[in-house]
Amino acid sequence: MISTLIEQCSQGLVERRPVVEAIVLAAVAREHVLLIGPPGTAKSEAARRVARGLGGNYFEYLLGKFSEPSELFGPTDLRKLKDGVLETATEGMLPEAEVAFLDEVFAGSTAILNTLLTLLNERVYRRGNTRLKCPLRVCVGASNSLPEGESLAAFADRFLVRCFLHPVSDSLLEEMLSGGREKVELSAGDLNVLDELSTQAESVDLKEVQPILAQAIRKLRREGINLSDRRAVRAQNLIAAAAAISGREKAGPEDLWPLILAVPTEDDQKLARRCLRELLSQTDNPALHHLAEDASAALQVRARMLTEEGEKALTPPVDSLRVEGVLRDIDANFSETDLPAELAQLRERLKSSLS
Amino acid sequence: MKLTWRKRSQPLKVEGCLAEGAAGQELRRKLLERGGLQAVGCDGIVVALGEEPPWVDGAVFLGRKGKLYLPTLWEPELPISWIVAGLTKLGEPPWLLLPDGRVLGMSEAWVL
Repeated sequence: MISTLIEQCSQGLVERRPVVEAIVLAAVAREHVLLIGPPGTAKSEAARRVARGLGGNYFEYLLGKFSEPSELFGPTDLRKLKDGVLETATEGMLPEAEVAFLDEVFAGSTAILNTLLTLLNERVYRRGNTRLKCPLRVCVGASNSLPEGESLAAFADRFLVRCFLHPVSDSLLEEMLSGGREKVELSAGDLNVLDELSTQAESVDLKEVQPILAQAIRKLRREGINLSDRRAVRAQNLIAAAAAISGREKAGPEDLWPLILAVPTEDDQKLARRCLRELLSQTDNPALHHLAEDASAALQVRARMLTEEGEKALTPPVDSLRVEGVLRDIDANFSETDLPAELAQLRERLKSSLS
Repeated sequence: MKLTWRKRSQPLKVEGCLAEGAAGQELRRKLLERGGLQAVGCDGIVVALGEEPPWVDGAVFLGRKGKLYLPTLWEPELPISWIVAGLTKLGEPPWLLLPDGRVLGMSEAWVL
């Protein structure tokens, strides 16, 4: 179910599947995502599609220096104000959203960011007499860069998952151009599916993975990688969500990879990938394999990606250069003895398609 | 001293491929057909350099570590800098090093 949703949401979005998977993972974990990248890198499109796929109320806003709190949280209820009661009419606004996308999230005023901080952290909206429990599952924030000031750093820290986006690679420009004109029909999802997975994630047993996680955090600290205690603790929510999405009741070493996403900067994420490579070598996830492969470069998830790419390449009309590309990736990544049986069969089918 | 090899925990990024015998002939045919890649060949061995070399069954895909081309899946059990220091007297880099002990100079590769 989640795999189908991810597949549909990623359709035509070249090199953005890991972002879609990250938003889904965060939504299951009840955490928030920060997308960092230049304008025009499909940040909002990815968020919009996942929101549609997950179902529920969606709120989206582009923040600016002059944005008023009412533009996000709703206007003051004038009828009640006449009676001396300060209340906010939140209908259709962020306090009632289940999935939210906030573009240029650090551009908001202090008043907006302070209210947002509570909303993101406690899922409560407070203003005057209004105190509302918010149904927010996941908030996706976007920005061109990470904020530098201390005051914004505390706010940015509420976004546990960090994804760094870059323009599409040169070799995939053709695919991006044709994908960009595709009309994607996304049917609205059922939020209950997400909620069920979140409930399962909450009860995932982390006992087996906690010592390995502690070992990983020690390694990161030794390398000088900054991962606050809060982020380290909350990374467990992502690990539990990854296990739940894989259908596991107990998280194991195969579910440790989301720790990379909790590392706050791009350079540190790169370094973390390198220094945790051995610890993450058992990574596996049947639904989030693009994101898991990005984080861990583990062979199991790479095999899943190649299987998926190979099946797509065999869909008529077959492009022989694309088939060759998949065969090249298979042969460059797996020796004959290490090749998983499913991928070995696919390799034969790909070979036959060329003859 | 005999150089020993071990399997890489993380394969290298593809930067070329090598094929011999029938596979070498097939690689040569594809290279001539497609052009645009650097290649070198001798004694029945054909090596194509580039991030997207043609695929032929039986080819060994190559990655690069500094001045050395190596199979994507294997690494020598000696520091690369030691090997490079030893190879410098053999001619101009880069070199291709294979687990069976063969060393090929790649400086003569030309664009097809």
